[in-house]
Amino acid sequence: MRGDLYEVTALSSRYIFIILIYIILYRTIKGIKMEYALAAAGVAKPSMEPSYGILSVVECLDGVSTIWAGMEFPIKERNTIGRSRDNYIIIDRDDVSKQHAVVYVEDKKIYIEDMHSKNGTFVNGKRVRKVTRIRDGDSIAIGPVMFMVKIPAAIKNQEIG
Amino acid sequence: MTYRARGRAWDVLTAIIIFNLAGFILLAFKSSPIDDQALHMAIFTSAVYVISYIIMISFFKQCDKYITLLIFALSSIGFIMLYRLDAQTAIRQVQWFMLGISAFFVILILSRYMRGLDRYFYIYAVVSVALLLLPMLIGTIRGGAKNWIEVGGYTVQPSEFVKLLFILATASILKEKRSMKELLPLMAFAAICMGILVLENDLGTMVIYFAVFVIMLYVATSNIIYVLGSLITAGAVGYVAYLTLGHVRTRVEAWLNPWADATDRGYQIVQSLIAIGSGGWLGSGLGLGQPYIIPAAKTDFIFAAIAEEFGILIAVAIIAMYFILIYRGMKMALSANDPFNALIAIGAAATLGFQTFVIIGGVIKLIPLTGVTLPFVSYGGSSMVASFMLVGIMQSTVIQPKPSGEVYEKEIIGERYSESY
Repeated sequence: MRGDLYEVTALSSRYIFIILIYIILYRTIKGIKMEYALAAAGVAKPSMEPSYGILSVVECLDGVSTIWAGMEFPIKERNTIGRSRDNYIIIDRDDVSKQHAVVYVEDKKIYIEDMHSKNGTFVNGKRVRKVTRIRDGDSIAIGPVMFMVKIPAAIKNQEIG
Repeated sequence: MTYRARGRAWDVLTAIIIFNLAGFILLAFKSSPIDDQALHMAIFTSAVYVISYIIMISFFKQCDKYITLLIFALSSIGFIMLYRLDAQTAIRQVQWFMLGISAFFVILILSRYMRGLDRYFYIYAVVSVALLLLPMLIGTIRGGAKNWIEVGGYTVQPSEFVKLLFILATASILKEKRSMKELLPLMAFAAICMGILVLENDLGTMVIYFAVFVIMLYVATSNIIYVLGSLITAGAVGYVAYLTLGHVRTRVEAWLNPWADATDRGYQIVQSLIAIGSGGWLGSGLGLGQPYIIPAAKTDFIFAAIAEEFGILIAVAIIAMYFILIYRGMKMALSANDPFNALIAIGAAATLGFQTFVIIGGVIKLIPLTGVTLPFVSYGGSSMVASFMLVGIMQSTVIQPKPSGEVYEKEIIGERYSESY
């Protein structure tokens, strides 16, 4: 008699197990999606620095070991770009100067400045002579690398509002 | 907003604990006087999960809590299945789990202070080869493979731990662009490791090492020639092994048609397939099937045992959990700022992924069977601790020295975002 009771319980609890496992899966995926939504808005994990947008590497010629297409660098207060190791974004190739350019944030606006580099910094194809403001969708070319500036809508709204 | 994001993870933990409690309580009622031990297990394992999770979110905020939660879910299914097969094994598995998660936390703490791990290729290489050679000198044979050594009454499988060193060694060479000549020491090291594993008859682990090596090589160099070269070499070596080594041929033949020799060479695969088939979509119900008939049901074939009693729907969910785990690892590699860390994350994720693929593929007769463990589910101390250490080095790539201040501002951005969301 006891055996029958166990059998009925075990058979019906199969559904409970299946439902629970899929709740675990669903909630995990939901949570991960939420985390990405937050990260895209610049509110990445709690202890990371705030970011004001993303410098996304859309193109990178071969022969650079430190950077590759598809990498995304969050834009922080001050982001140095160049060949030497102490830069935020390191482009290890001879046609890039040691301190090549700097992208920085002032009053929630993002600017780029060329640090008197030899081969220049180009925003949307034009060589940067003085401090230039950059906006969502702008392209930045430095040596072998082409960056795309991405500013998530959440941050843009905040800037206006 | 932060509350809601946190709330999701707690939901997942709650669901895992209900699953864990339900499984053990059901097992407790299986025997005629209620099995107190199963109830103790239910409470103890749930407490271990909650405590580990609280340690995780309070001291290691940068780390990926979803990976930890998925490990809890996988190990919970493992504990329940092992308890159903043999209570003593399950109790030991819980001890290994606790040892593993402690090792995981220790690695996370150490990674805050350890810098420049990428400079010691030759140390990693020598230690790896020495550890791999140990079983040949003082080893014991288990399940046809000579890859175990005895340390103080416990058997340890060095090849599980060498995976970590193998990843560190490979990443420390590939972190910079290298010429063909500079890659030679690495190639030699990888070839020696795989050669030793073949001699020890540990083919499954050899396949994992090879796959991880090729993936890391491709990720680092983007050079398809290296990959094609490795694959062609591997194909040639594999074919020669098939012709010359008896046990390789046995495995391939048992894979192509296990039913031809269902009582001997094909026995394991046949039993595994019968078990999965008899379970069906919903499973036979916990405690109502006969998973103990499957050979090595506690270790290599635990996936077949789970598929029989829990059903294919849960087996598919397990595969999905591994998928998310590996995806998160790859995502970590993409967000790493430094190629060495990116390669470590890729290596660790690829190791876990291939190990899962090799054993689940073998059990369901998708690929020839080679005995490796299913990470976090199969019984085994070496496997459990080594898998935790792999996840540890994977997660340690996101740990950076603590930034000072700025926490308040982030909270504000979070709040505003939640209003517009």
